[in-house]
Amino acid sequence: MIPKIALFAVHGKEFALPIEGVQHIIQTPRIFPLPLLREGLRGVFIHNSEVVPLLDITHLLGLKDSGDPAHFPFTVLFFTEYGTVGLPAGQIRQIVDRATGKIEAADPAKGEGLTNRNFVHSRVRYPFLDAATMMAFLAD
Amino acid sequence: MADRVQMKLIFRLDGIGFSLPVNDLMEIREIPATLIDGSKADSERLVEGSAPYREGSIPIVRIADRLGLQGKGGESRVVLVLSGSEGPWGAVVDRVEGVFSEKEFLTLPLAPIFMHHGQKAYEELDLWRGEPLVCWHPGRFEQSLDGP
Repeated sequence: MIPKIALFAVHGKEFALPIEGVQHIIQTPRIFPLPLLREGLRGVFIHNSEVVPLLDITHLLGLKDSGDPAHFPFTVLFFTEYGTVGLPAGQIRQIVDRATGKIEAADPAKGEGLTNRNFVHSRVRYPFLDAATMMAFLAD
Repeated sequence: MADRVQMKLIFRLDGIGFSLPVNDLMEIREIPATLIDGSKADSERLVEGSAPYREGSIPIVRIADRLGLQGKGGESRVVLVLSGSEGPWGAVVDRVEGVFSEKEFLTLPLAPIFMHHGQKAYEELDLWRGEPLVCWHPGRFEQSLDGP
């Protein structure tokens, strides 16, 4: 199987997700706040009778406006060692072969959020959110 | 004899739903704020004051504060009267949604990854009609006020 990368847009910023970690992409369900949630989580939602945490994508990407997660049309269900997590996504731009781009180290000085790698495709640098990045974020 | 149906009460704080086994509840009262004696307040134990109850009085506790929530103020308090280790006490909630058969609830453990480090204000969620509710246990809440 050829590894694929999905390119998403959120709040005018784009990011890349490896398709192999994506379980589903669904229309954003109802998001529920819970008390005392850890920083970086925007709430939870129910999927297949499972309570799934919703990551604060803007925090991950270093964006200022966190926005209301319910306003994102899509939620990506992504599998991590901690279980399934949800990522809000505004628009699915493209799904491309991984071989058509390259992974390079991110430059923290450029305010590229918490991701430490970029996927470079057609000379555009997309913050690369893989399971390891999300696990590091959750374990922080 | 038929088995007694177990029930759970649902209440809300800042719109967030909480479930409580009805067996833990003595009664629900609406208490005018003017009846709460603020001279008995104890901020460390989140006690807003004391209110008359039957032949004596009970501490009125703002549980929202422990949960990082605002809770509703206003001219009266909706109070769940609970039996505690040192006698009855009142937990202030925003409103009571109702009482429902336990069969309607699916209890799920809450993964530690959800919580801030060291927080153990609740450990389970009840899934009820497509909504996650915090399983709130008065005894555990009391223990949390006593510290680790």
